[in-house]
Amino acid sequence: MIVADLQELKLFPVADRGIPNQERIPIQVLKSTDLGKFGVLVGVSYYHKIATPVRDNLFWFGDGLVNAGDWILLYTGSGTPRADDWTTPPGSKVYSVHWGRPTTMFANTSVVPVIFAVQGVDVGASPSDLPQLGAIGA
Amino acid sequence: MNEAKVPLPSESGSDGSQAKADANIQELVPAKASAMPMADSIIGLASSNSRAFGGEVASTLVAGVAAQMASELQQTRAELSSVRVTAEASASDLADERVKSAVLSERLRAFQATRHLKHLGVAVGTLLLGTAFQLSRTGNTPIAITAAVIGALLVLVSWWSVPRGGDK
Repeated sequence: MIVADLQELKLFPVADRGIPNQERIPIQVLKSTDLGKFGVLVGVSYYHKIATPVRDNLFWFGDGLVNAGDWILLYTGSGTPRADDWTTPPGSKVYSVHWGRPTTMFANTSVVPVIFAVQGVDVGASPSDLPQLGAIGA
Repeated sequence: MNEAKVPLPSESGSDGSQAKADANIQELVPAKASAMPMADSIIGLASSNSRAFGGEVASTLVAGVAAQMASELQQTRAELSSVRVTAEASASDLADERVKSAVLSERLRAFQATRHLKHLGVAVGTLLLGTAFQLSRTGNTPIAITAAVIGALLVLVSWWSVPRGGDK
């Protein structure tokens, strides 16, 4: 499947690969956007900029507005989210968020993060409630 | 391209509970699309709705044919992949041999170009050494030493500058 490049976010190489609690995915915000439509998954890369997704590995940022020049540091371990002021560019912020994985993920350089944007969703409906015992025959 | 510098705040918020991944455990398994979607569909249709292919016997036959064709296709693909690897290795070997051939050709050309000069150097050097020997007998020691040194140098330089075997 060939899709367009993202215009809002830019991935940088994983920092401190394989080092517990420091391994992180730096993401630069190029355009102001809502992170709710973005997610990160893990892929195995065989060629430059081409990767096959890995099963059961998905991170969703959740809703949150970010501005151009901000940075997101997605740590693969667990922790408490932080927002730090940053000076380049002035007024920008660095958001540290955590995937919560018990072990490091990117020691193998063939394993790469992939950011994707959701273009549309269809949520499966919950099954309807069973009739309550008291309501039968009422 | 002007690459931005990735920031690193003093605090990461990490709780320090993450461990280093065990290299021996392949935790990450690449998702794989169905290798033979058409064959899978035919086999699935034949097993769930045998009437689609005219009854149980016909559907079993169709499913078997589809499975065999899919298997043969996979086998052919595997063989093709193997042949491609071999071809790439052969191409790499050919490139190495071409480089070696070019180096040897250049060395041979250089040897042929300077061969006569080297032979002349060896001949003159030997002549000078002989002359020096004769001069030393007649008492012209300083000239004899000079001739001997020049002769020896000519012989040595001519000898050592001749290309010899080896690929370096």
